Amino acid sequence: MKRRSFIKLSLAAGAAVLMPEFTYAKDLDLGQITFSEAINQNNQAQTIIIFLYGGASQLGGNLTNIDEIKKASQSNYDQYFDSITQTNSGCWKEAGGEYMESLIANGDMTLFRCCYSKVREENDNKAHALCTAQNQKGTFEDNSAGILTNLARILEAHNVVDENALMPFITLEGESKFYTEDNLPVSSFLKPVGITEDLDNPYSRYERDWRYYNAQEREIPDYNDQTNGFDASLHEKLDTLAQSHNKEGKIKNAFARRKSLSSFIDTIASSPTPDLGSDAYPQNNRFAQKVETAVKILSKNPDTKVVTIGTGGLGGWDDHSEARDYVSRMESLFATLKSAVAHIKAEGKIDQINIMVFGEFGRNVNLNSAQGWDHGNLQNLYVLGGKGYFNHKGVVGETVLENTGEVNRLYLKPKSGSYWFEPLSIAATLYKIYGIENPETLTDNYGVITPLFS
Amino acid sequence: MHTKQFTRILSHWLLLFSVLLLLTNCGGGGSGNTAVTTGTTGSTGNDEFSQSEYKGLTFYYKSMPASNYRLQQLSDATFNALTPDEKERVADKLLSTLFFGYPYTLLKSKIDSGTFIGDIRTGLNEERTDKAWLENYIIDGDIFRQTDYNEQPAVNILARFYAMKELDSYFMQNWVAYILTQTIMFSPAYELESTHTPNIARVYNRLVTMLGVDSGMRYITYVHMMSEDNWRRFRSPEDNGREMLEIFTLDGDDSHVPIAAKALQNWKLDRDSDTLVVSLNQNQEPLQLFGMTVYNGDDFYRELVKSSAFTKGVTKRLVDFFFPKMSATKRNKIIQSIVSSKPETWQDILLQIVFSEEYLLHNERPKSAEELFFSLAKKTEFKHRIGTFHEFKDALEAMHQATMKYKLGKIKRVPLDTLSFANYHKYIRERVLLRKSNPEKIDTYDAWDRQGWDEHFLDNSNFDFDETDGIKSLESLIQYLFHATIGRDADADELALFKNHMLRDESDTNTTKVLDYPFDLLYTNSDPDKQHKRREARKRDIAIIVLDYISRLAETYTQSEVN
Repeated sequence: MKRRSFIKLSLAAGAAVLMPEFTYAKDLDLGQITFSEAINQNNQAQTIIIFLYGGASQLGGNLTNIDEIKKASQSNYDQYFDSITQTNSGCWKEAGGEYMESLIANGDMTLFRCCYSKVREENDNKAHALCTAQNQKGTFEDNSAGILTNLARILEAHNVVDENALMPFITLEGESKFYTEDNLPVSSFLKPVGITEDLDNPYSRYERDWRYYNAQEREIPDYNDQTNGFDASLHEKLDTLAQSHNKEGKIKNAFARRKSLSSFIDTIASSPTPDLGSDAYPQNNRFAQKVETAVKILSKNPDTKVVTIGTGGLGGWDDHSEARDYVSRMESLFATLKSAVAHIKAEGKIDQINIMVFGEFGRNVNLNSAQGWDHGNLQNLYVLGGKGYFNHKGVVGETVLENTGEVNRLYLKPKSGSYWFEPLSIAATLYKIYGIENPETLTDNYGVITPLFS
Repeated sequence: MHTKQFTRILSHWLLLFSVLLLLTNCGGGGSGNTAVTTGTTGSTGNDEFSQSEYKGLTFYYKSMPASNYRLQQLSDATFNALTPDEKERVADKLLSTLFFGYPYTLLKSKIDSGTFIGDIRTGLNEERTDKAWLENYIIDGDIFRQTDYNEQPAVNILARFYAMKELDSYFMQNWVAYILTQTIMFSPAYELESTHTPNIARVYNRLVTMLGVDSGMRYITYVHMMSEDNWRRFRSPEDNGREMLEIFTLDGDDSHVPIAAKALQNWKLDRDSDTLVVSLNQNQEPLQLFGMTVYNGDDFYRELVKSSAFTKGVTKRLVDFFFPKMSATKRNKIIQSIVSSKPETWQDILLQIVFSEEYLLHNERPKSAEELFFSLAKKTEFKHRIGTFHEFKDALEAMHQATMKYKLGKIKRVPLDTLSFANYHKYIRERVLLRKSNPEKIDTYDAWDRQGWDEHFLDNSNFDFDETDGIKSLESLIQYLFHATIGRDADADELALFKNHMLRDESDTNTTKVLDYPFDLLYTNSDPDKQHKRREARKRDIAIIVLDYISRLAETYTQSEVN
């Protein structure tokens, strides 16, 4: 079944452009979902998803096969990289490894080394768009909704969120497939809202222009004074009438949420970050700013369930050439994650808030002629925090090097007998911590990442 | 020989020469044949230039006549049978899609001619732009800020659309180039560290130049794929091979990637200044791709663009770009229709889409910021200030509609998440609709208040200004503003809202409605100059409130379905 549906998806999304019979939808069937309110209430889960667009190399968290890799690689690792030092757990010291060791030692993180897609391997797929869509929807089915659209609907159906919930889903990366809608309607309050890392407020509107006040309002002293005045009532009337003319859809939804978002941003912007001492966030780093903002939001607003973040500010992870930059990027990523965990702890939320870090796929480990890595099929998953429901296990999974003998076909694969999972299991795990007891019904029968719950 | 014909032939030769140089640099063809031959091809001209080909890759094609299109085109007869409001909306949809617009009275006269659709189509084949003037004008630093930061070439491209006065062949070539550079196919991708600002100008200008000499879409793509610009985006043999297969032929089969990578094994983006180097150790083994035997990079790129999968692939890319909300089944029908017409130029696909009934009557999609800004600018005779287009480029980034920035092009042409749309709305509202250009600053390009719609936009000749009836004049002005911007009447509720705000009781004891002072467009004064200025200011204040309302309507940001 899995192979068949995967092929359908591949064809429909790409190659079989003229074969409409291959496109079909699988809408969410709420009747099939077993939901535990107790788990949901107990966990009080909140999640930050950091998606490494482009597909990050797994080497930062896994140098255990580096000696073999070096021998087989087209370009010379030691000549190209300044330094490749293994930490005790086999991480790349210069690429965030020391931060990883610290997070692991404190029981704050599990590093999974075998997030591997056998299905894609069998179907010759390492394409960005398709793999991103699959990982963000948690299924190989085409036209299905994104993970967070499904989650939002389920939480609404079980009264965990309602129209009074303040910004339950927030994106600091713009639109993504996490929020893709299928053929079913989604309540507007469940749709994600966007915020910038510096809490810039494009939702605000200057409402003290004298022309907008009517004759009665103009008679009130200081009516349009910035401090002592009031907003002209005409603005509300213009909005109401315009919205009555606006068709249902994203634009209407965006207009509807403008005002509340404006005040939400002002509130978050005025809340300070605790003093994190030596764990302070890296300075002058847009990505660190995003994560800091995400933690602030989740700490201050329990209504927010998930914040999604891309790694804009660090650069993309599609390191086909000049992979040296990857090392500093990983260092920056994990310096930020360590700060985020300290921040979450300082807010007393380490049991509730978790962070998941992954991308669409990992990379080939051959250092190619352009000193980069091409696409691969095994990646790391980093899970942090959420200690009220996750049991962190340090490092999980072992890999072996598969050398096909062809130029530039050098891959890491799960070692025989080692624990591994399809990327769709990330979605299953996410569903599970919010109270969905049979998440595999949404993820093509791929279940949760079991070591996190054992 | 006419000068124009000579110029055209010279341009063809120069391009041919460029390609020869390029091929030489690439190590030549796999089987060692002479690079360029002439012979009978599918191209339409009789001269040897239009018959030039390279190993079966024909260089030049005339765009096909609309009568050869297989996707049903909107005729003047069908257009003329629409209601007046529908005609305005369809006309606006067509023009704004092309980044164009006309002041309302001019638009009405063009619609009333009965040949609106045919005239626009014909005009796109005519050469009316004074290119020498235009190209000097947009780089005049006293008028359009020129800097060595903020991707000036992209800013110049935006300024050019604003400055072009004619919807003609040059406009069309620029529009096609612009659309292509927004897609995954030709995005210069200035967000990447390995790309540089000049790549924007190189990719875009090459497209405009090649389109100007009737280059076919296969040839244009072949030259692009072979370029350093493309290699700065996709930087290793495997990456470049994979992406070219996927982008242009929709081939996502990973087993084809090593084959492409082998053909490209001697291609490399050298880290020294991100320079494309094609070394001499090219592959010698025969490889099978596209049902052909290929050896090297030149073979790979050439056979890729010659394949039938290429036509389907690029057609799908463009149909998806213009019909993002349509069902897959309907989109596939459109693709089939276009592919069956055997397109060989980008115009064959793009014009077939844009002038189709399916697009103009039945398709609904968000309007891009360029579509909205440039059409509003033309409709309102908008006046820029020196930094307007730098600011517009920055605003596009904030809207996540940045031009030519993204590695994979605009995956979603108009993101409508709350943040992206908030920035879109804010820009259109605050920088375009709520700003009137100060006529006294017309020659002061660095004045903040030079930017805005022109006073002519509210000229009394545009609506029924009645010196004896202020309320009637007000209603007419409101209706004019609605038609000029969104192509419809203000309805009763809308009129009532504005009138409630802008009228007052004549006195405490007389409830007869009269214009409230701030909106009294019949203001009188013994000094004619003072009277004129005051009346213009009051029309401005009326317009600002009406246009503010219009900025809050979803239809302002939508290319609407008409029936």
